[in-house]
Amino acid sequence: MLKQLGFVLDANRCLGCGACAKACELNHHLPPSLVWRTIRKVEDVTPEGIRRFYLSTACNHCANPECLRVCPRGAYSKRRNGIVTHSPEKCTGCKSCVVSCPFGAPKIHPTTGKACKCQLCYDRIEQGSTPYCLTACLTGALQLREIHTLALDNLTRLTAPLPSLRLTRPSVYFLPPRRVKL
Amino acid sequence: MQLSRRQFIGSAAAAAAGAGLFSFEMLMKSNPAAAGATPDFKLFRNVCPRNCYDTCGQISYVQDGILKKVEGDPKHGYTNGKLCVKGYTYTRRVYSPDRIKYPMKQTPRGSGNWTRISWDEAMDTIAAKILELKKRYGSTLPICFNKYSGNFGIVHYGADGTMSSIGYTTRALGTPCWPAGIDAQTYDFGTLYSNDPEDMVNANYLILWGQNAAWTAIHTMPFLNKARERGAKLVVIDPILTSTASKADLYIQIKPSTDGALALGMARHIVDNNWVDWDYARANSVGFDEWIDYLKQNITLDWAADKTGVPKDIIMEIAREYATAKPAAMWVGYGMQRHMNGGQNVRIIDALGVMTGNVGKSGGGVNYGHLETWGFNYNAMTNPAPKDSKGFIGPDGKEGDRYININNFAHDVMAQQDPPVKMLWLACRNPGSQDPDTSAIEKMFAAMELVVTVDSFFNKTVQMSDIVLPATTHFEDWDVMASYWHYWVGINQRAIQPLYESKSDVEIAMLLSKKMNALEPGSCTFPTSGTPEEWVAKEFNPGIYKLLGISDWRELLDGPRKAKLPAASWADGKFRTPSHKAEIHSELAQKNGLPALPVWVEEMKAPEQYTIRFMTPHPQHGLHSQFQNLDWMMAANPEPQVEIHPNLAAKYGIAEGDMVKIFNDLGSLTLKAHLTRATSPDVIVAYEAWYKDSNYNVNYTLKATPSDMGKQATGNNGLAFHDNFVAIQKA
Repeated sequence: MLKQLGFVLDANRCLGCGACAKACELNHHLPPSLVWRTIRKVEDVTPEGIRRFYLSTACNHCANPECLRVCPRGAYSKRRNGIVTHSPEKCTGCKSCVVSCPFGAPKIHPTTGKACKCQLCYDRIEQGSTPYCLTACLTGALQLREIHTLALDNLTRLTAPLPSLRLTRPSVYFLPPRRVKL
Repeated sequence: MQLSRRQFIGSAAAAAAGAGLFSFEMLMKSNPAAAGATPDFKLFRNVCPRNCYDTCGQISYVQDGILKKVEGDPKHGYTNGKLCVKGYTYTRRVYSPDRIKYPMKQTPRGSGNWTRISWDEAMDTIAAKILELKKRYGSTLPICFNKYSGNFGIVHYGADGTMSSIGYTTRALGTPCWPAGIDAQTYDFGTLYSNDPEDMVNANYLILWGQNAAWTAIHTMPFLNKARERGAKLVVIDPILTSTASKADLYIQIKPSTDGALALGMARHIVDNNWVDWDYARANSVGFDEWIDYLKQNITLDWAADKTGVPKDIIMEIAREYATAKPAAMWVGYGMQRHMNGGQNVRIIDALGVMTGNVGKSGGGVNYGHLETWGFNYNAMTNPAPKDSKGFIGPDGKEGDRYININNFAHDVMAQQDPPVKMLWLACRNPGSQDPDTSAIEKMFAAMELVVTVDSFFNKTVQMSDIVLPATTHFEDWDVMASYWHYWVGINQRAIQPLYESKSDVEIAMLLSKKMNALEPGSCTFPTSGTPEEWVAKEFNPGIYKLLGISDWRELLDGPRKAKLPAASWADGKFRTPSHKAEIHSELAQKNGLPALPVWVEEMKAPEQYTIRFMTPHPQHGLHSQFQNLDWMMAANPEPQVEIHPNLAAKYGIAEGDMVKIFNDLGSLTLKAHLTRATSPDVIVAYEAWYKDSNYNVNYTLKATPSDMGKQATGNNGLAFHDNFVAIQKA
């Protein structure tokens, strides 16, 4: 089986502090209006209780990446370890990927006018280091795993509202947050 | 940590056996400084000087004299090479276009009509005013100084030294933050002295009492998590379902200010089931049996459940678990003591720790904070008053400074007669944003003849000043920083040259001294020379060297040092009380008009017209009035909101996003509503902060109500920030 690296987020450990997103921005020299990683605050109230947690998300490095499928210039490629990378030199900024990614991962860089996205710090990984976001994470909530080896019984896949979105098979899993009784 | 590709693949194979590819352990040891270093970067050691538990070790990356980025210092064993999002934002603070660049004067005050002036003109105006007031009133007492926690670097006490060196002045005394709890622990144990927070990994049970570590002490979270990996249960008691509470194994939503009642209920259940550590308590404390009698005669579980809103079975559960887990640690947050009975509630929690034998134990403790690593010389602060200075004759008959209450600053400044206060000097402090009764602060400022503020941004206090002096950031100066939570001490290097015309508090003092002595020889005793490094060097002494295991302060350039202290405070049982035991019965408390025993003291009740409690805890994206104004924070958190329970909102016809007027007899503010069940129906929540280009301020409705304790150890009682009662209406 092919390798597939992907993020696993333990929602019980993620404090929503934003250090991962900020480290990504800083080290990839992103302009202020551009982010590759975002933090969402979720509050889910049911009669059984309340779940209040944060989701730190970036590119999901899908098994079947839609960006790769739609790009007319072949700017996207999937590496042997499953990381989906984008080559700006081939990109013309046509925005096909931007509008087709179900998760909004590719974004247009305001300076170059070309698409860009989280490359999972593939160069750092190949040097045996960790992505900047993981290095910055204080609690170990954000992890990088070989997805095919994960025991999936305790994990939730990122769910998308449309069935077609499931077809991209995002390589991101979550340890679901606990519910607090009120 | 550097892995070769082969090792990397090898560990990927190991992942199949269930081990993480990048385990938490490996991450903790990774060295971002080494990984990110390139030959053209110069690296410097810094320490974040903010009023924060974590006091992080930082590495600054400087290229061509420009601070390019800030990372965590991997040699700091508590912060472990990690920063919070505020720490990463420092480049935006240092190079913010909003920074105050030059000395400026505002004419008239409050108009926003600022003009650049030279340092010489600024010093001339200030020195002339000081000398004129001294001549008019015969002393420098009309000059009032207020400094607190804007920068906790030791050399920054040079701001206090500025005042000492011109004569006896009027001083804001005390601390708004944590004095009630300090006094509680002073009565009980002799002083505040918490276990090493890294020692929390050894706890089998953890109670965070009104403490939101996920936002305000984020580096403790990994230690809590390690304890939990070993099976420890994490309980969070808080009126608000905080980010920390949402991670807990058990969250208890308590009625504000009733923490003592919960602890008493737990204590009664522990007595009834004989889970008391009688040997420890009787050998190490005084008045213990007297308190047990009180519990038996006065406290019932039904009463505690009714008082706190916590179900009886939950009280019984946490009482049993806390008393039998051994060791069990408690962490008392500063929010829970900001009440009229706050200190007393901490005393009750202290007693709970003693009765279960959890005090003095590794993995235990009633942890609040400590000052064990703060034994510096405070050289920059201690200057003699000039000869023939006239001071204030205190109650003890000694001549000196005139102390007023920092927690009732506006009132106390206005109340001074003979001589009145005519001039303010503010450093490391923003009372316009942080003090109670903002309207009173505004009036008081308006009544002054001269207001001088040292700051980096045009915040509310600066807006009400005549002269602002540009302060350096901590990357632009030498300093040394200790923490009131962890046991590490670090040196702060000058990583970049001071920007624009900014100066440190000590440099400002030296300039002022030159000017004053030129105008009137002998009128100021502050030294007029010394490099920033020399000023740092003068803060060290053999005691600090011994504590840190060094023989020269420059050894700190190799990395922060941890104080050589036992992991558990009070492990030797030598309490610093008059009796040298834990004083469950405190004569000193009684002498100060407080109950001798940790008995229940009623919480403040909501007045009839203002039935809603307005809590204003610490924010995630800032620290008091710092950080939130920076562009990155404004992008992450663009506007303030008030959190309202849906049931309360429904009562007033308020929907998500509606504007809500929050008011009482003192003042009002209008905020956008966010409906959430994270708070209870009788408590609304807004986070204190200073937003850029906004007059948002949570303190317009806050009365200067003192908390019950603080006077013994800090000079003045605390401030009951969370006894703030309001009414609301849809705006």
